[in-house]
Amino acid sequence: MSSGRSPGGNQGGSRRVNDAGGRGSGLELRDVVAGYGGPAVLDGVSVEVRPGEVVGLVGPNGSGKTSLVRVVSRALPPRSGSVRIMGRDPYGIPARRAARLVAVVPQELQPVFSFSALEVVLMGRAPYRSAWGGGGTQDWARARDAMEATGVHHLADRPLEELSGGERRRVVLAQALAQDAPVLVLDEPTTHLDIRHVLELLGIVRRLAGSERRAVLGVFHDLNLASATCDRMVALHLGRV
Amino acid sequence: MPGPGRRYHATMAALALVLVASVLLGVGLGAVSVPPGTVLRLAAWKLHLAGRPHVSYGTEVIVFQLRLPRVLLGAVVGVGLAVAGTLFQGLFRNPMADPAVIGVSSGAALGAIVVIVAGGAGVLGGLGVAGAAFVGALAVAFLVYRLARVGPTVHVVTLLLAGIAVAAVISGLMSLVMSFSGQEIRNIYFWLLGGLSARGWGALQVVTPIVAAGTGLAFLLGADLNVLALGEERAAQLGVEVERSKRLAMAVGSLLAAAAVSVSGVIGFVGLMTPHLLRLVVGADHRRLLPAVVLAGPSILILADLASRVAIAPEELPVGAVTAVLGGPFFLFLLRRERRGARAGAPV
Repeated sequence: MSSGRSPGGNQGGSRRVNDAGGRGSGLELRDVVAGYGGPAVLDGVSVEVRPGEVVGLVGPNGSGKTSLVRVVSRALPPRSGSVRIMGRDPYGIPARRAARLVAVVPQELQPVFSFSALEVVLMGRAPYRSAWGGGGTQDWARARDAMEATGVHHLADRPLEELSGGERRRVVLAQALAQDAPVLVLDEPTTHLDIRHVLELLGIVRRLAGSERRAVLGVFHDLNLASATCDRMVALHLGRV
Repeated sequence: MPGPGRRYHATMAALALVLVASVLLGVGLGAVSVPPGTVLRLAAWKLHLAGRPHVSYGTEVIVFQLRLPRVLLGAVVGVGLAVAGTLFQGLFRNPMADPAVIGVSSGAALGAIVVIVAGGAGVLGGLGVAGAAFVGALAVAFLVYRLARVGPTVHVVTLLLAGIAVAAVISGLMSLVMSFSGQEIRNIYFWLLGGLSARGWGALQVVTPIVAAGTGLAFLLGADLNVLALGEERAAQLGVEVERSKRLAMAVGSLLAAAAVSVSGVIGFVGLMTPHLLRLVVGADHRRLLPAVVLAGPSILILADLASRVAIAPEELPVGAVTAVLGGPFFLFLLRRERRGARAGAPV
């Protein structure tokens, strides 16, 4: 019953996210074909995101953006082609291991019970936790860091449902950051959010990609916002790049 | 605030005190009153901490043969029901879930009755009844879950309706089984209403290890239940093996509900109220909630049982009637609030 230690956690001043030990880095999709039973929603998609890079994925509704997020987050196995996260196939390792390599920032989070912001962010440490080890010191420290990075540390004890839309979004981002994954996927970070909060959020992500060398894939509806934030853009149309 | 914090410890201490007081009241009050001091001195004597106090043999019999086993059984059943309720609420991601409300307790009762009527009550020292109850409970939990689930969510209305429908079917089947039972019928009927009376130490021996094991497993599931509250897809993204955790929660919840039902019949609403009230005090984190539930569930059931004994003394009410009278309005209040929340539908 050891307290939750995080093998992939970070110590010391200059933080670097988990490194797969030179077996490839960032996110790499090659000729991915995926779908839900019917015709393929993604039809031979290749995308690569290197550490420190922010890549924007843009496309109209129905172009397969959400499916691509699901493929990367181990929720939709590709029919053919390969997914590599830090050189590893997320479908070939347990969910816990995969969650240490790739973190998704979902569009929204609606817990059925009333959790405080800190409790929500601490759940980002789930991939490092043994069944008993709850608030290991390192988990608390990482949750704190993540909340400071997104500017929500002062909201730690407030229930999530009492926060404003922008604050909640930053708590959700902090949860994903607490996962300490080298690859970060933002699923439509701009929907239901006013422009000031959008810019704030994207500014945080931009900074983190630089300082922590995370590989960021952002899914965007809005081309202008994407081009203002990202190093590179990939346009998805009808399941193709 | 690293760690559970001072307020949480204070809450736990208060709950423990309430539990001790409930036990003393439960043992002390009734047709013959035994003062708490006498109860404590008798307990000290049995634990070889003190000599035999000057009390009559009659008092000793009342305390050790009648009331103490009953109160302790209430405590163990209270733990089982409250922890089962917490697990089902987490599993269904729905604060209205309770072993009785969703029909799991009825399933357990049907399983138990089949064994009793078939003359197998004594099989394996009562474990036959508990085993059959477990099978019934698990079958209903699985069925209701499948029925109530629409896409990724379990809707309150569907869940409650599925529970009602399944419970109605089971109730019909129980009548059928009981019509074969002859003279057992009165016993079965009383037991169905939920009661802790006249079970003695034997029932306690059967149910305590099961409830202890189930509660231990429930504690191991706490962290996963927290993450599951965010939805299954998000839980999977955070590294939870969703299907495995859900199956485990369903099995452990059914086991606890079945253990409780096999000795006390169907006692409703303890599993609904206990986690609910405590979430208001200690928060939603299951790793903090479950230990609090373990302390509070027994107090609630012991006090409800006490009320059932003294309310219309010398007659006795079934304790299930007391928890229903207390829990029913609570349930309706929650249902109303849930529906209002659903209408407001504040997205996060």
